[in-house]
Amino acid sequence: MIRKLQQNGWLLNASLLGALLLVALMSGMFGQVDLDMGQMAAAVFGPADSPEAIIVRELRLPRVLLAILAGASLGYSGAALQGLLRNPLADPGVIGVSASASLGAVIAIYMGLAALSPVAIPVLAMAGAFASTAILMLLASRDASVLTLILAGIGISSLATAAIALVMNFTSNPVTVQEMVMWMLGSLENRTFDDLTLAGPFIVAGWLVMMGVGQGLNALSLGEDAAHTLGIDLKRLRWRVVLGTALSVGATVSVCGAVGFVGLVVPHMVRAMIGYEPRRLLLPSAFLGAILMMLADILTRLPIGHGQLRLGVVMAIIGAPVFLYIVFKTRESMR
Amino acid sequence: MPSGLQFKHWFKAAFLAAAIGAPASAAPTVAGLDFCADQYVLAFADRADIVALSPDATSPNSFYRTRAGGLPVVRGGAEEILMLRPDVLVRSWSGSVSMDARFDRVGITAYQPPYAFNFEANLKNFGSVATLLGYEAEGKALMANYMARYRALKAAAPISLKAVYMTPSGYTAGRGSSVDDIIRLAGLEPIAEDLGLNGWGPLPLEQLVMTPPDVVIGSFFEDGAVHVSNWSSGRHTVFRDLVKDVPSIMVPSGLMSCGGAFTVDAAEYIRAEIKRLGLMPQAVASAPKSLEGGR
Amino acid sequence: MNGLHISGLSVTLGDKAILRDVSFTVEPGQVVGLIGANGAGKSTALKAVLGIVEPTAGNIRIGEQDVAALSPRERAKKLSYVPQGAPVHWPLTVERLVGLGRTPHLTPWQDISAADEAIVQRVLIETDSWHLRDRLATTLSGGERSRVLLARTMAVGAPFMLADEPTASLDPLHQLQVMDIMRGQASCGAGVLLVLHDLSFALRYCDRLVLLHGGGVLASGTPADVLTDAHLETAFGVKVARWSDGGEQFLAPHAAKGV
Repeated sequence: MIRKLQQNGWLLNASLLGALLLVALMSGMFGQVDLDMGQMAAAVFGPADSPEAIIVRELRLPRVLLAILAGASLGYSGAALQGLLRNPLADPGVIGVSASASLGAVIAIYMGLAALSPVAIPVLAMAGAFASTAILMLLASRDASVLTLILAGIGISSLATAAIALVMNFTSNPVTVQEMVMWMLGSLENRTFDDLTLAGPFIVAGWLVMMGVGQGLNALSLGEDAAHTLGIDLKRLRWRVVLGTALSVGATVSVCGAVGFVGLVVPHMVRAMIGYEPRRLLLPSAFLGAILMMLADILTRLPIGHGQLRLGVVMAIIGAPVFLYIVFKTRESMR
Repeated sequence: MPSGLQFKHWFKAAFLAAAIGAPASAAPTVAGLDFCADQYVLAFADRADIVALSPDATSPNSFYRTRAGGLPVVRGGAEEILMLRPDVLVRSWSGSVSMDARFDRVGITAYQPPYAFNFEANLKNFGSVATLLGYEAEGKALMANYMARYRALKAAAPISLKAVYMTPSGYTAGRGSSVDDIIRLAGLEPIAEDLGLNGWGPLPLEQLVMTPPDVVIGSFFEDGAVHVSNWSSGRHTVFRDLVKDVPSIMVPSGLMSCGGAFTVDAAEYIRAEIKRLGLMPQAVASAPKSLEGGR
Repeated sequence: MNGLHISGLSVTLGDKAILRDVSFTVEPGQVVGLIGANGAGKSTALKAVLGIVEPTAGNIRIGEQDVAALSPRERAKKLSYVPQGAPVHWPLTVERLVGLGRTPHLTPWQDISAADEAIVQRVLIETDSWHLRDRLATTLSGGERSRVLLARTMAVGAPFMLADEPTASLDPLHQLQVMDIMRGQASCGAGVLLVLHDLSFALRYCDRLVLLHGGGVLASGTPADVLTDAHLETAFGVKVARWSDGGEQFLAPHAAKGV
């Protein structure tokens, strides 16, 4: 019996990985310019200076890679947070982590710190993410109710958003409202390899920190006391999820803005496929998050949006109804 | 040919002028509520008659900013105007019709030039304000001068270079925009035509890679006054590589503002720059000298 | 295997002294009952032994081994816990839930092996829950849930099992089942430490009793020694009625003291 489920787990991960590669390939084919298969092949394998090669390798590829890194981070950390907080509504966006990371990045950029060193941007973003998660841990200790968690998240998010508006208003150089909206909702437009090399190492570091928390999260299904007596170091577990989220989500936000709902929607979908065991949600959520991000990004590049459709808006249109649906389904346990 | 609406406005301006500025020696006092309105005021009014201008009158966006130096400035908006009681208040994108009625009750004539869709409409606006302020002759002279220069530009040899326009936010202007008119008037080929761009939108980098531009025209980049958006296409390494070896012309913001009011000046500037950069394909007859322009 | 020795255990939470100098022993094969009025510190004592609550003073040993010196995993292999009113946060299948009991024996990356599965099967059968193995844990009735969570603890296979009121809110049949399972564990060589409210169960199922009162040990020894009228009046403020049935002794609270 258990053997079968285990096999299912491997099967699911393998299929998701395959789907990920397929979507990545597809992603390279969409954009403002239509390229046929011949041109695509030339772009990938031919010389680097042709217009097709520049389009695919320098304009589209960084975007796709960043979508994978960002989506995987948001998906994994969403699943980890939900396991840690025993709450299916936890997600870096909902609990205010993404907004706080955005604030950190905005402070770095618009208060001139980025001019000292570009690394200041992801570093401050991660600091913002860390601060908000730490605040949340304090508030949500010892099985705090769902309501407490969501309300705390709203509070943190609102504060961060207001602070962002404040910082952007007071800069000496006028900043458009649109730019602020991009920070709040997220966007993958015009991302370069520089962005990848800046944020990438921190994102991967975050993953490494969060790897292996699955067993502890499973034990937490029985409550903190039982988990403790099963040999789980709860303090260490909390630190790893908090730090891992701060690193990977913080660095993600510093180059993509605060894309919401991925960490909420994706574990939910994985549960429908594989059940509720927290540990088994982690890796599939990373894969599915990457896929979702890439699909949303493809949507923004289709001609229907006239180049005006934003990633964050697409994600919110998908994610907000799912959020409401989950609330509806679990409303009994919210009292 | 002025449309019915244009004629109505011109007539209104003339009527108002007759109503206020009866003795030719006593020109009406005038104020401008925003920097586009300021241009009309600064184009004609005597310094002594200018009661106040908007705070942006001296900013880089103001065509006549050199004339605006030393003139009083309104920071308090409509309230301050009510206290200052100029005879005429010129406004463009600021203010409202209901506010106009209030000004009227206090004896201030508020005038808003209608939105100008093309070059002729812009000229008409200059004429209307000139008449309103009692400078009908000067207004006609300005219009004639611009018309002559316009015709000269139209007659000048086309420059077969593909030009792309961009702002610090990574936006470009396509067919139907005033920028497009300026580029065409300068004799260049707007790349928006090839890319099928209409109106304002983000710069499509992929399409630019396929059809690279020969010259980049930028504005609003004046140092210190602007911020390059974190998501602007101008930030991308691909864009930088594209324009690295492409000549760029930074047009002063004052020429590009206010819906094409200074289309002729902008087009002339661009042509002059093309010549200075040695990109002119053939000798071009020089345009007639402009009236003292505020650059 | 040696006994679980609790010596001089003191716990202060905030500025309140919950336990003062509590000492007792649980030998392998014994069922030891921890009884006392509400607030006497019974649950706290269990949690202190397990390390969930930090003791202010005292020493906990298994044989010569100081428990505090063990890693969390080693400690988990030696002391298993049935918490009171335990939650189950996710709708896992019963089989997977009970399988969580094997966690102390697995590295963070391992999933359960065939040997572990065999243990899970055994404890499910022993708790009469094998037929529930594919049910979701959140759909179980109260009695079924208690048995399953007990099975989870049994799956750890620890030499000492600590349970906090395992019969709370169960109907009489399931109460008896749980107590029988506890006795069964002891018969197999485990040491069982139970927090109990039901005095009859304490009398009937426990080899030794520890009566807590006012943060300290009022009496400790065999049920006969501990459950005297004097002790019960002091600790619970009640008079008890006693009777025999089929060779077994029973008692029940009968009236408040002084009536």
